[in-house]
This record gives sequence, structure tokens and C-alpha cells, in this order.
Amino acid sequence: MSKKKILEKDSNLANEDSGFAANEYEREPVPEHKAKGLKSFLGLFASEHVAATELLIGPLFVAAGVSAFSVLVGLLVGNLLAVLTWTFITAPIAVKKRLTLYYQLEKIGGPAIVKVYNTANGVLWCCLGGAFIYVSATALFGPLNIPTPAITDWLPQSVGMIVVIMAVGAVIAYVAAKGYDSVAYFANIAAPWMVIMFIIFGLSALPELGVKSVGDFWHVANEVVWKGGEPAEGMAKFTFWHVVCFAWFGNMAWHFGMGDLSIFRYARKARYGLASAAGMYLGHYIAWITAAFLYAVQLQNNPANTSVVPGPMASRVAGHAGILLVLLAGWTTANPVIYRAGLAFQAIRPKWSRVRVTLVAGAVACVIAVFPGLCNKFLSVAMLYGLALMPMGAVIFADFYLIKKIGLEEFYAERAGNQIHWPPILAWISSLLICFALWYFAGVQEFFLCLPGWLASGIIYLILSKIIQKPIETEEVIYE
Amino acid sequence: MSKTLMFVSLFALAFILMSAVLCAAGKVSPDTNRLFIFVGTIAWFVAAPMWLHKDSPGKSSN
Repeated sequence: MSKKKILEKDSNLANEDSGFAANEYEREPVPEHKAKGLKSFLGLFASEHVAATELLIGPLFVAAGVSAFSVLVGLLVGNLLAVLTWTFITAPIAVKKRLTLYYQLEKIGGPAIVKVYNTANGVLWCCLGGAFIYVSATALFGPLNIPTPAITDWLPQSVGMIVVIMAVGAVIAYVAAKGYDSVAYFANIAAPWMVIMFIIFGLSALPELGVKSVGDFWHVANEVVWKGGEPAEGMAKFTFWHVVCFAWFGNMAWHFGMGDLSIFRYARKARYGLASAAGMYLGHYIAWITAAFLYAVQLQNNPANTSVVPGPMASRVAGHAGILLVLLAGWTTANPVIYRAGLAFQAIRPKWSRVRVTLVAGAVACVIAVFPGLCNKFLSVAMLYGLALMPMGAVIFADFYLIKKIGLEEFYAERAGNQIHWPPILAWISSLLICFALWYFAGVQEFFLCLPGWLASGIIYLILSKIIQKPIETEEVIYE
Repeated sequence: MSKTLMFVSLFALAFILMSAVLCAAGKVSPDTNRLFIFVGTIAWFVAAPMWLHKDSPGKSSN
């Protein structure tokens, strides 16, 4: 497979999974007649954002000592901001250009930048794959009597735990390497059931938490579920603003980071960005809240058991179906992630066998999954994922909206015929260094770094472009 | 046939949702609720693949 073909395929994977025209229009705008209606985007977002990690995030909010008001109102506000970002930042660029993130990056920074982006993405996908494998494997912890790790544990607590995680991870990696068509199909079948199951978690947990009538809810929410107070050892204390920022930036790689250009390039209208509300309010509101109920039931039964292990939590409330949900939610999300990681790494050296590279990516994800510390710190991991990739979204935003206003060329690398155009890469590196400095020297927590980093990246890109760009004598006509 | 299967699978989802609502209202015990959820889940996974995304396998390439 040629290098170009691999890059194209990688860039189009999101579409393959979602049923949006697979392997089409990687290097050309999506034609108007191929654009899709609002319903397609509602279904896509609803199914994509109800996933395995929701079972970690809801309980981790509780462990972070957040109050009921902060969660219930903070998530409303943060998710609204995320929806507005998709609608007014991401979707308008996608609908106007109708190109993938990868192709826009290549036009702005040259082919080399796509390679760097793929490498970063591959590493991050291995980490995410590890979290999904861990969640999936916890479904077997209860039936196999494997002791659960505490919330403070970084290392695996038993040989049995390592064996189960490795076994589940090996199956997932093998399926990803050999082709996950059947898993993707099965994931589509399971999606409506998963959404209903998260609602069922919440309803089934209510009587166990002591909610006998609607009037009891607010009291139980404050006194039993989100009691506030001190966070668990090693965790940051979450306030209203932490919740708002986490909900807003939890998917930063996709909205501010422009990852969803690949999806919204198929939208008829930019306002279809509002469809992201289906994913945010089902997955990042209802699912996070109901997952917190599962954790609260566990704490109520045994206050000393603070471990965040989805399998036993789901089993306690929903029985065998709960175990099945945890297993499938982890499995169906881990597979495409490991597959994408394999493709991303293969893009670095096309001669490598994709099957072998995917198996290596799966092995790396398995090793990561063995350490429960990754999932116990998932709130920070999710932030760092968005943080690492968002500078490229700022570059695309600045190139689209601002660069012509300061008298410069958009898509400069393509117009100048450069293999590499340095401003985007330097903006990426320097904005991350600024974020690191804010975190290290000023003590700004990772939950609040995304927006300053994004703004810094855009500004640095424009300043460096002003310095480095030279007038181009012959202009090509490009997609308008 | 397809409409019957669609009805069976949607009924299964409605059934488990109703079971959880009744559990929340204290009309169904947690043990019975867990059993109903499991039965409904099996019904969904038996019936839904026969009509939902029936043409999907093989669409995505590897």
C-alpha cells in the first residue's frame, strides 16, 4: 500500500466506522449532492459519545469531591459550550472547505506535518486503547474473583489481573489486526441498547440510593452521591469550573482541534453542529450521572471500597446485562482505536506490515492497560489527549478566518510547493511549551490549559507566518 | 417478517426500560429487575441483527 494511500485511509477511518461514505473524497471536497441530513449526525453523535470511558468519568467526578450542583449544572453549561464550539468553530470550516483535517493540514504545513500528527495520534490512541481494554477486562473481574485495584493504585495488584487484561487485550488486538468489520457491525447493533442501558443503570440504582420519590432526589444527590468534601488521595478537588471545563474540553481534539472536520464535511449546513448535543447530553450528561450512581451504590455498600472498576459496579446494579455492557462498551471502542493506531504508525514507514504494526500497537495498549493508574487518572489523561492535538485546530482556524485579513496566503505549503512549512509546527511546539510552563511554574491545572494553549497556537502561527511567508508569484485556483 | 423483528427488538428495549422504571418506583424488586434486563438484552441481540444494519457487514474495508 502506498504511503499516500495509507494517509488517506487513516484520515477517513472515522467515516468508515460511522457509515459516512468510506474511502471517498480524501483529497477533494465532498460534493454537495453527497451531503447528509441532520438525522445522520444525530445518530452518529449519540452512538459515538456513549462509550466505555463514561463508566470511568462519572465515578471519578465523585472521587474528586465534587458537589451535586457543580455536576448537574456544570455539565449542562460545559456541554452547551462544547456544542456551540462544534456549531460555530468546527462545522462552518468543514462545510465551507469540505476537506478532512489531514488534507487541510497538508495544504497548510506540507506532507511532513501530517506524519508528525499521525505519530502523536498513534501514541495517544494506544493510551486510549489501553483505557478501553482495562474497562472491558473489568467485566471479568467479578466472575473470576479478581481483587479490584484501589483508586490510589498505579501498579497491577495480582497476577490474575494481569492475565485477564492481557487475554482480553490480545483478543482485541488480534481482531483489530485481522479486520474488525464484524465488530464494527456488532457495535452498530449494540449502540441503541447501550444508550438504554446507561439510563437503566440510573433508574435501577435510585432505590438502592434511597430515592423513593422525585422529591428525594436532590437530598440524595447532595448527601449520598456527590457529597463534596475532600477528594480521594492524589486527585484534584473538582469545583463547578473544573466540571464546566472538563465537559467543554473533554472532546477538544474533535471540536477546537478540528478532528470532526472529517465528519462535518458531509453536513448540508453548518448548524448541523448542533447535532453534537445528542452525544453530549446522552453520553456526557446522562451517562456520566448514571455511572456516578453506580459508584455511589458501591460506596454505600462498602465505604472503604473506593476503587473505580466498572465491571463489578455495573454487575451490582444490572446483573449479567451490566457485565455484558462493560465488556462490549470497552471492546467495541478499543478495536477501532487500536486499528487506527496501527494505521497511524504505519504511515510513518509504509513498508511495515499493517497487521504487525497493529499487533504491536495492541501490545503497547495491553501493557498500558495493566496499570490501573492510567484509568484512575483518566480525567487528566482525557485532558492531555485534547491538549496535545488542539494546536493544529487553532492553526486551521487561523488559516481559515484570519490569515487573509493580515495580507497572507492560506494553504501556504501547497501554494508554495513546500514539503514542510514551519509556522504550524513551531506553533504546535511552542503552544505546548507555554501550556507546560503554565502548569509547571504557575500551577495552572491541566483542566484550564486548553483554551490558553489554543489561542497561543493560533496567534503564534499568524506571527510566524507574517515573518516566514514570502509572496507567491503564480497562484493556483483552489477549492472555494 | 422484518417489521415483526423490529417490533420484537424495540419491545425488548421498552421492556427493560419499563422494568427499570418500575424498579425505581419500588414496584419490582432489584433481583427481578436484573432478570428482566437480562431477558430483554438477549431478546434485543437475537432480533436486532436480523433487521438493523442488515447490509452493513463488509461495507467497511480493512
